[in-house]
Amino acid sequence: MSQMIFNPAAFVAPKAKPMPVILVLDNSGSMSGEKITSLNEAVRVMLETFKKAECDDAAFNLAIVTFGTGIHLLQPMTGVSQIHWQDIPISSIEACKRLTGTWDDAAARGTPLGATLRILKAMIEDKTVIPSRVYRPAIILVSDGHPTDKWSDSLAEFTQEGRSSKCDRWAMAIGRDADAGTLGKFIAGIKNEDGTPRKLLYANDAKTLKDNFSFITMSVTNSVATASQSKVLTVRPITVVPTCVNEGHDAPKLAQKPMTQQKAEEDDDGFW
Amino acid sequence: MTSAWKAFGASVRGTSHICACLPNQDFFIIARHLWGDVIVASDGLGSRPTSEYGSKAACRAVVQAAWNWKNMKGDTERLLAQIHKNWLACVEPFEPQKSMATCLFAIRPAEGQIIFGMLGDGLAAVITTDGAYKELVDDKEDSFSNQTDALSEKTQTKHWRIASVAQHECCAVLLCTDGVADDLLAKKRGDFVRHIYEQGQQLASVTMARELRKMLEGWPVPKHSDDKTLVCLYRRENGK
Repeated sequence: MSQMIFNPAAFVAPKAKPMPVILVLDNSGSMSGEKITSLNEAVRVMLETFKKAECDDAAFNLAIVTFGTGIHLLQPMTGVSQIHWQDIPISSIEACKRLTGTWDDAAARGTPLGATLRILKAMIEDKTVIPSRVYRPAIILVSDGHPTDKWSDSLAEFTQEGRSSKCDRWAMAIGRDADAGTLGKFIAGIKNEDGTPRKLLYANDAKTLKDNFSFITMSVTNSVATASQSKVLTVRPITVVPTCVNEGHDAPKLAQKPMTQQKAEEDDDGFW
Repeated sequence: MTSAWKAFGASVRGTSHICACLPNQDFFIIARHLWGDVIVASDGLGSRPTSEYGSKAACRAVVQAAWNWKNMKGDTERLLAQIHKNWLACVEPFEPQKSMATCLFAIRPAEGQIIFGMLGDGLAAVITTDGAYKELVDDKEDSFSNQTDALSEKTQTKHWRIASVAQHECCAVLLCTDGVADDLLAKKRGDFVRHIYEQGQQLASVTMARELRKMLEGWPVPKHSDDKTLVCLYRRENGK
């Protein structure tokens, strides 16, 4: 009598329900140096963490979109176990020159957030890329500059209409030049698992960038578990404390040395 | 040829709840009365801390409302409003917003139409005597797997999907929560419901419930973790 009367195998999906994660990363020229090195390290660690989590009950799909002199789908939506990590390059000024035929300084330093959000929205609305049988996707936007194109309409469409508005959104401002106001609008209205408003994460140095990525990774991993558990899991980073903008989207109140009499190069002291 | 209405159901904890020593958030009730039958299934929302009570309250709310269905003279809006009112009463002392749960139900009165409905995700399906398959399903056209409507303080009748089928044309009504429905291939949902119904003709209801439980415990989708509930009301030919 070990034979089962009901055999659902022929009627069900053959694959696990995944959690899609989309990294939207600024790789414009201003990200060069330690910023891009730290970002690459943080993303690599995130990928490894997702791979480890896949050994349990979770499944993760990851896509990476970069924006700088151009917008590139660096990594199409793929199961994390199939991704072989390669560092994200700084977007090529040479490529920009080839396209424009001139040295376009603005484009070379460009942060085309509006166009990026339009492309990202199209990607999310496309059910061949992100089908309905997935957990709520997590979109993680990381930038160190001000948008150089018209972004407000694109942002409004992204956050208020269609499937993109249902996504879980994160934003991280890198360095002092980041447009915290715009990034803050990207996460406006999003709540954490415990019901508190989502705060903008702020990375002022390599450590906080990695810590913030670890925090997001833990939150996303936990959210997969929470989706099928009866209690809200509060994310309590043990070794990781994210750096947030507490009120509004002003610059973070970090313990920093006074900057008044220092040159830009000198006042870095590990901060961007 | 004589026939009789039978029912069976099963609910199992998802693997994530087992690992975390948490209770089953799904619940179901099969209520059989002289005036008819009621089957209800409910799935408490994972993000709400007391949703396991919300799902139990949803099932009780439907059964209570169904007692008066005959007097409602087919007024489904009144029925749905009554279910909501009952749920708010049943869920006390817990906060409704912390106890949100989906709701799927079917009411078969002694005579007349079988009414079935759902609020939120899951699947409510019917097999008719001509072999046709009808369903109410949340197709997640504009959302994702773990996003759904549910019973809450603000629930309105427009949030429900509801349908009916003539009793003499109906062979089976099947309700299943998201843990089952979400894993079914869209093109195979009808075949799955027929499979359950056809197998249901072979054995006693108690045996079917046991077998159903075995099926849910051995669910073949990799890394499945949701609670799973399936309940079926069906007509058995020459049944006892």
